[in-house]
Amino acid sequence: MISGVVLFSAGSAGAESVAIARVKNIDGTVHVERDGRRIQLAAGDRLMRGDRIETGPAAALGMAFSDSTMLSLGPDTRIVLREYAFTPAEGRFSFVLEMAQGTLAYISGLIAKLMPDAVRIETPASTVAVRGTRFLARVDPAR
Amino acid sequence: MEKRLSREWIRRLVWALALIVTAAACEPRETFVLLPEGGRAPGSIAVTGGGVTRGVDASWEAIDVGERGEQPSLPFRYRTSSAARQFGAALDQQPLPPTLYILHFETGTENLTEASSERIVDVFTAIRDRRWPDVGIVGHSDRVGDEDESLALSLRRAEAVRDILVSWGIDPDILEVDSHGEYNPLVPNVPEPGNRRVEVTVR
Repeated sequence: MISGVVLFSAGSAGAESVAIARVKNIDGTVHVERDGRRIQLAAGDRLMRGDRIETGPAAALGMAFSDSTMLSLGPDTRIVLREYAFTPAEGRFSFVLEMAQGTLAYISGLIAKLMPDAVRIETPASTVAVRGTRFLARVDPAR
Repeated sequence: MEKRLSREWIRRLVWALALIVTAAACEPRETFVLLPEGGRAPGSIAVTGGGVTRGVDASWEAIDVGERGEQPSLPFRYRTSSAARQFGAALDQQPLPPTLYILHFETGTENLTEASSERIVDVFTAIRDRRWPDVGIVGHSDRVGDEDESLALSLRRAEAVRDILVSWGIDPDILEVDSHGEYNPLVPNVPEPGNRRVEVTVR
C-alpha cells in the first residue's frame, strides 16, 4: 500500500498551506481529504486547516496542534478542522471543529487559555462552546 | 378497595414499561462529557440545540442531545466506567503532554545565562526523546523601553535558541520561531527581568 505524500510548506503564501497540527499516534487506517485528494495518514504527518479526517472501523489517532491543543479520535470518526488560528501577537485565536460522527477526546492548549470563547465544535444536532480544559464528545452516525 | 389498588399498580407498571421502551428506542445521538484535569478547575462546556443552551461546569458531568432540533438534556453524572468503553480507543492515542522550558538571557544580549545554557541541553534531550516532535520557540520581552526594540530583541533571542538547536542536529523544519513581544508576560504590567525570556515548548 502506498501512502500519500503530505506537503508541508513553512511560511508560504496562503493560510491553507500552513500546517496546524501533527499526527503523533496512529493505529489502523485513517484518511484525510484535502484539496480533492484522499490520502492515508501516517504518524508524523502534518494536518492543514480544512482537512477532513476519517478513521476506519478499527482505527484511532492522536494529534497535537501548534498551540498544544490535543485531539484524539476513536474508530468510525469523521471530523473537519474547520477553523484554526493562533497568532497571539495579533490577538487572533480560533479553534472550530465539525464533527459528523464518532468519538473524540480534547485537551485544551493555549488558544483556550488566551481566548476561552474561541473553541467550538459543531455536530449534527448541537453547537458546543468549549471553555473547559478536557472533554469527550460522542456522535452516533445518522441512522 | 383491593381491586382498586391492584388496578392502580397495573397502571403504574404499564406506565413504567412504556417509559423504558420509549427510552430505549430514543438513544441520545450525542453526548458531551466534561473531564477533570489534575488540580485545575475543569472550566465549562455549553451545549446548544433546538434553540436552548445547557451547560456543565463540574467534572464528569455530561449532556445528551437526541435528534437535531431537540433540546439538550439536563446535566447528568457520567459513569466513569463508561469512559473506557465508549472513548477508550481515542484515549489510547492521546499524545504526550507538552513540556515547557524557560530560558533567560544576559541583559540586552542574545546570550543565554549560565543556568539557561545548561537548561537548553534539557530542551535538546526532550526533542530527541519524542518520536514526532514539534517545537515552539517564543521570545517574550518586558515593558521597559520602546516596543519595537524589545520585540526585535525577543525575536533575535528566539532565533538564537533555534540556531543552537539546529547546530546540534535538530531538524529546522520542526522548529517554529515567534515573538510575542510584550504580550502574555509572566508578571504583568511591571518591568521585570523574568519577563525577558524565551519559552520553548516541546510537543
